[in-house]
Amino acid sequence: MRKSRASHLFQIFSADQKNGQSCFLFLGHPGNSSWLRFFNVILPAGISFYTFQTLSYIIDVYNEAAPAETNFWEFAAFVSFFPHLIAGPLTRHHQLIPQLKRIREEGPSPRWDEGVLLFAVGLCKKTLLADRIGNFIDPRLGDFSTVGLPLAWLLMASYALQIYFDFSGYSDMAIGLGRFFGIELPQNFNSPYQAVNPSDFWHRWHITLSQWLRDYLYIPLGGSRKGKFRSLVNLAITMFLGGLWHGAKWIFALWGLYHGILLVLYHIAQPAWDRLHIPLRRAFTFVLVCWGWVLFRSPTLFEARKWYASALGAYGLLLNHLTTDDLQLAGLTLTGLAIVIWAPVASRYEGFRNLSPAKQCALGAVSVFAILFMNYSSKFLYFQF
Amino acid sequence: MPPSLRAFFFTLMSGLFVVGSFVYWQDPAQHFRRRVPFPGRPLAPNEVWVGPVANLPERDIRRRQIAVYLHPDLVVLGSSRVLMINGSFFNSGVAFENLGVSGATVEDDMALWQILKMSYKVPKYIILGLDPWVVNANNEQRRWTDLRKYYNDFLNVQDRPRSEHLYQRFQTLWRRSIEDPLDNLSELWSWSSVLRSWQMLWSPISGTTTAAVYAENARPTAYAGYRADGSAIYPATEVAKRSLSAVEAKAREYALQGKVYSLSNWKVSGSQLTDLQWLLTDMKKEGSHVLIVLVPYQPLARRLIDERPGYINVLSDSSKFLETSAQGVPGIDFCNADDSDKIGCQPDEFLDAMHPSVTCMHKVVTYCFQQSDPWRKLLRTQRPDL
Repeated sequence: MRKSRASHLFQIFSADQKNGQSCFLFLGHPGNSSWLRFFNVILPAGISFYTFQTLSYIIDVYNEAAPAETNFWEFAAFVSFFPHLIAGPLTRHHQLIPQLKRIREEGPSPRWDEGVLLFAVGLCKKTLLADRIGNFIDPRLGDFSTVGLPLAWLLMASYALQIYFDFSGYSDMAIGLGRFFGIELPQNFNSPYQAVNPSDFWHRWHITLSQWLRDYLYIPLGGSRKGKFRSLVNLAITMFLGGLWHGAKWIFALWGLYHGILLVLYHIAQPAWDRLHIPLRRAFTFVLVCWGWVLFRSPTLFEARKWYASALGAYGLLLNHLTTDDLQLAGLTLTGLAIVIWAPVASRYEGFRNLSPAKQCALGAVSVFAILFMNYSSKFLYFQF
Repeated sequence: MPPSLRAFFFTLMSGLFVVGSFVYWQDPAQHFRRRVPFPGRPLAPNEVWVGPVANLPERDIRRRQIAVYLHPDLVVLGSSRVLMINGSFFNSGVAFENLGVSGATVEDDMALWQILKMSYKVPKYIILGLDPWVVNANNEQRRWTDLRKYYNDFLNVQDRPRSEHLYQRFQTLWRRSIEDPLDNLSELWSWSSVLRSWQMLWSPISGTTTAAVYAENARPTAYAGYRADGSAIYPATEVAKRSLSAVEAKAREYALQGKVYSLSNWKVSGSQLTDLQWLLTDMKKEGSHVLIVLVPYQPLARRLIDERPGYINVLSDSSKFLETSAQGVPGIDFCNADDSDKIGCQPDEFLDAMHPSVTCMHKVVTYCFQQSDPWRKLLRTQRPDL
């Protein structure tokens, strides 16, 4: 795991210069700022993704669970396959290398229909939903003096949808691009907000990361082989480290720990939880996940505390501070929720193969709007990880 | 194109074609086919020149404005944040001209000053509105290159070592030559252009190729305009909408959404401060009285920018740098009016996060002019009807 430590230090230095400086000072280095600038400048986008991808390959080869790839170009293509390089899905060697070999031997077999349409759906999710929601909530989240209880909850639900449409939109585009080359990238989302418990959520959200953490952290720690107590501790440790994967900030670790505790509590209270009606379980899971997103979105614990305080009514209702923008945000959020509940999972949708002309026209028309909205400045939230 | 996707691509391409053609036809940003020239004669005091709300070829307008205008006594240079300063603030005997341009940097001020000099219209008094971004090396302002000829002329006349500027200027011009055509083209498929085109379709500017001149009483309802003195007049419908909550919503959006206008990647630029000192020195050498004015931001916007990581102390630091630079040139008056409380501007006396309303601007000018001679005597004794 030496390489893992090195890449993580790299991320620490790059993502948070103060943490990096503290680390240098701790190790006895004078904490020269030019050193830190050096690390800051050369941070490649999506480093976490391809580090983990390469890491899993090296571990599996070391454990003789996979054959070593002797063709340098195939290995390079595996590491640098561009569609998913920036923000996933995290692709394992056994998923990608055989497909690359097939392309070398038989030539590419593009699946244009599915690729183009899935890419269009991802673009629409990103520009028409995630970015629109983001434009409404960013100004609100910087100033809590006018955020009362209802708005705080609305912002939580909106952010939950923003990050879902942003990240799953990117994944759809990456999978769509992969299909241009006849390569099938793994699914990353499966209607996560329809999860009926915290464990189910992690089987549906960022699936490739969950699987990576399970195979390379949870199981090596002992998994569930060493008794129930130890398995719960392993779960919490895995989620804590999974949180840190998102960035070298303690607030990410706290977010991971929060989900670790949720999973532990769920496993303890599973019989009682499972007796609840399914819609109720789904709603509770959504609320618990939204509550955790506060930590994920807030730049500091102090900001998160203000958001939590608003959501608990510490500043009152502040209904007179609601603006028409907030009403538009509520409308957008309801639209997003309706899509989450009723729309099929795009990356698994079989209908793209034979989409009717009417549906193609509808998607084409929506895509025109997606292109019109591309001019607004935006970024993929998962670029930073 | 795969045959099975014909319907998708047909809709997509025809949709983009229709939208692009519509924006091209309306041309709200005047990038393609519509060029609204500034009147070739000085406007009468009761006339307003009406144009589209955004993206006017302002620098070109200012250049021609200097050519047609008589000899101004008092000139305002600066950005859109000083555009609300108008002639009614001053004594009726003072020939006033506002030469503010959006996103002004020191390069703009130098170029406009050079045009004034070349036209033998050096004013006795100059109000120089400076914004925090003029100090920022990464302010991403390239609009001044519309006037680069005059900027270069100014540097040539100064006979100063220019090597330190060359690389930066070359970079700016190179990036502009690449990015501007693409920027213009992307306007065809931008949502904001579509909205503006829609607005223009239903309330067109009368006379698409010639300037529309309105009487002052007929304040434009949908479009912005310039008065005869070059100051801005905003659409009546827009100004009426600006309640405190609307202004604060704009302030939040400005301060917290994306990058703060021209203040991101903050890095103090030595060359821009040097430029500023050359400009001030030259103005003094020509015998002009110069008053540097720092205009306030809307108080909520200012607080939010001050608290935002990456922007902490940016506004106060820029004020300090500008003050230090001004003090380096003897005889320059400096008025720091960047604190709205100090000058008595209310939080709703702003058009948005960074543009004071005309009443706030009047308070700023009054505050600054009353501090010293010879400025005091230029103020109108009676409060103007704002």
